[in-house]
Amino acid sequence: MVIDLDRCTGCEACVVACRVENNIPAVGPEEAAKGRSINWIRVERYVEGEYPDVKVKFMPVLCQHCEEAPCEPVCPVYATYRTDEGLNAQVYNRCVGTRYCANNCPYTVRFFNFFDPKWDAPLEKALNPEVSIRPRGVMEKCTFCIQRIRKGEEKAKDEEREVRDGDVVPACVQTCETKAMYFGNLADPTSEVSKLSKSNRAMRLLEDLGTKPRVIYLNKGD
Amino acid sequence: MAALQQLERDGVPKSAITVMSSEPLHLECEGPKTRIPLFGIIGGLLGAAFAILLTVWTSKRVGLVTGGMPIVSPWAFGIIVFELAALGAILMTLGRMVVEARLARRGRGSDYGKMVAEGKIVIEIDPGATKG
Amino acid sequence: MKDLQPNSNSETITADLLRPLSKPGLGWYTTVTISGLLVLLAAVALGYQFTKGLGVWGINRPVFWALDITNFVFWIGISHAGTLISAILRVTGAEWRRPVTRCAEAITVFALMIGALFPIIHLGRPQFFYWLVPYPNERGLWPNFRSPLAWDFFAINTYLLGSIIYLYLPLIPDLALLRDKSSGLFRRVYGALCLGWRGTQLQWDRLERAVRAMAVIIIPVAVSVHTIVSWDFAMTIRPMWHSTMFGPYFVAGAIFSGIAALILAMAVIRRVFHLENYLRPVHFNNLGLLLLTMSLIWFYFTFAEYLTSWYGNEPEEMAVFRSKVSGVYAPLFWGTVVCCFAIPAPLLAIKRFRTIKGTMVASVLVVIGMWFERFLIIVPTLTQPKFTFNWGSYTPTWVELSLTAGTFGYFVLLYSIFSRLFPIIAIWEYKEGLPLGEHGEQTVVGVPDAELESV
Repeated sequence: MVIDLDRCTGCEACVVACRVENNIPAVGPEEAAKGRSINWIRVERYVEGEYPDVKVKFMPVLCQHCEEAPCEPVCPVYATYRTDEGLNAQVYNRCVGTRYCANNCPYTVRFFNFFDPKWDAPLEKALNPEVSIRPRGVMEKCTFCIQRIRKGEEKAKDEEREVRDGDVVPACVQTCETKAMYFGNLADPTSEVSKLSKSNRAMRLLEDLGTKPRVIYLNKGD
Repeated sequence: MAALQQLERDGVPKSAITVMSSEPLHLECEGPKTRIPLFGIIGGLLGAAFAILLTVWTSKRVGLVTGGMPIVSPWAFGIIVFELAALGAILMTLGRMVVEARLARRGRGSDYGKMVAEGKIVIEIDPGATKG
Repeated sequence: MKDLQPNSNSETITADLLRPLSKPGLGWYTTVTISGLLVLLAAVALGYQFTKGLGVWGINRPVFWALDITNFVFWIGISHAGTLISAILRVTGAEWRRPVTRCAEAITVFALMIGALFPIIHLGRPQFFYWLVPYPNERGLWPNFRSPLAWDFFAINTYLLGSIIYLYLPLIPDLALLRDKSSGLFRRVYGALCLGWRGTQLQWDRLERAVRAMAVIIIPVAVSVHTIVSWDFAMTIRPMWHSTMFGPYFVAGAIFSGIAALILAMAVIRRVFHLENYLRPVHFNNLGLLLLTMSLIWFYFTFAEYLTSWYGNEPEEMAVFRSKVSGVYAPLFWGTVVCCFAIPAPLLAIKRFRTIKGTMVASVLVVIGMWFERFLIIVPTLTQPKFTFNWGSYTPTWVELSLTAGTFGYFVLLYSIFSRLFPIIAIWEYKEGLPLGEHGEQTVVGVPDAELESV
């Protein structure tokens, strides 16, 4: 995935789209005040400088699907691992909820279900049937909309071709108003993300930790 | 002890004498050498072998990549090997002790328990062994 | 080296040490009632938690671990008292250990049992805790042995089994004694537990060898257990967790808190069961010296840890450092330094103060200080993740506080019940250490009938 920080306006449409697509429960104002709200993608806001030279930076942060993810080896039950496609998988029904993975994630992108999720009527009718509901005690995080990836792969298989660039669009990428987000196959040199990743504005978060994140940020930073 | 020396002079063979007490007396024991340490070591090796098999075989079976670490991670598995080796040593030590001390046998209650419990030392002689 | 007691013949010793089993006294009943109530409170809190979910705790994002893991590390630390002290003193042949060993070994077993509960009750889905056990299943799933939590599982279970066996072995002759002095159901149970012990010299020899072997094995196990627990933190990449020193640091802290717990247990037992002749000032003096040593060692490790962080001046480490030393957690941090070092060290160093009361005061402070020290290792680091946007804070809820109080109650309860069922001082081991002239035993010669064979 590539995120262009120079285009991001901080509107948080991606956050909303992700919630709707992935059945993320709203924990309520009290729980959110305690710091338990779940946002698989969040827009971090940093304010620099004094008035009138104020600069506000927006940084959407989601699971980086690291190649060498520190969250994976610490899970005692193999509930998180690296798939063949290069995603960091989270297996909800294997998770016993030790929360060790969350402690070891340097990007703080992992979330825990402290209570049973609930949706007040009639919101449960808006749930996405393609995404499982996580019970309490289970960790969750961004999956790069794996349900859409699977759909795209199945469609390609039906049409007897490879998955093309643009076949798979996660909810956040689809919704972004300023087209600041791109998604595709980094291993495919012709894909848009592949070309953008070679830009001289390209950088990754916390690169010196050696996690090898797969989300590339384009940032000229002025 | 004086009483034991007297018995020896009377020609009672050492194998027929059993001395029971409520605390260890540290008399010279010429009995069979103990094998408890040896079995402890054997237990440790067995535990280690089991741990190696368990960790290597199961992680190969599961075959999932976590954090870029090798599927077979010797240093991590080594910790499990150490612990299970210690466990093996502990269990074997206990088992061998029970065997060598002839504990946990059926129907062998102690006739002199009450006297020993009062702090007395009991010397028991087996008439069968003194003959021939 | 040993204070000789005037009235120490064998029968009196046995009677004194067995009296708590039949005539415990009012102190025992009070202790059991209070600790039982605390356990009840914790049980209610636990039931509430299992019904509603972990949300009833104060944990949140980013502080995913707090009092649960504090208690876990703390109790596993306390468990290092017993077995380590008893084992090291046995291996080095220190004679003053004799009345202390079983007190210590019992502490280990019960503290471990309590500590081992927390990895289960802190789970989001505790009903699946058994997935950490390697067993063949139709899904072909096994635990991830690379995870420090999997290492915890093996280490703690090995140590628990080892400690139980290490407590049990020297208990066998006393169980035989109890069998011979009781009747009915008690006699049958004690008899079964002592495996038909007769007290022959062969059995004594084998028992003592096995105990010596166990002492040698259990020392590396104990060291490894708390090292592995510390690696739950050190194997992560969080600032002030990812430290190579954590292994020895935690082991030293564990022995430190363990000795304090031992001193407290001994002081209470001594008072409640009137064992003043057996747990004497010399024991408290020696344990007090050990406590002093551990206090100095703890201070050395802590100083090294904080100096390295401060000198390195790495921004993320400094954020956590500042919150502990001058920020929100400063009162707790400096309180810990006072409780673990500033007061106990001089108190224990001056011989005039190294009395039973003096060591008790020092020990209470150490136990409190070490509990907070565990808290301070865990929570400040978690409140400050890499991106400042995600910084948070933590406040415990009544559920967590009740569970914490309940652990102390549970420990005292288990210990009290143990001291009612088994002599808290190993009778045979104590007598073994007295010079022969003190015993006044008689010899009986018996000629048995033909069915019995000699051993």
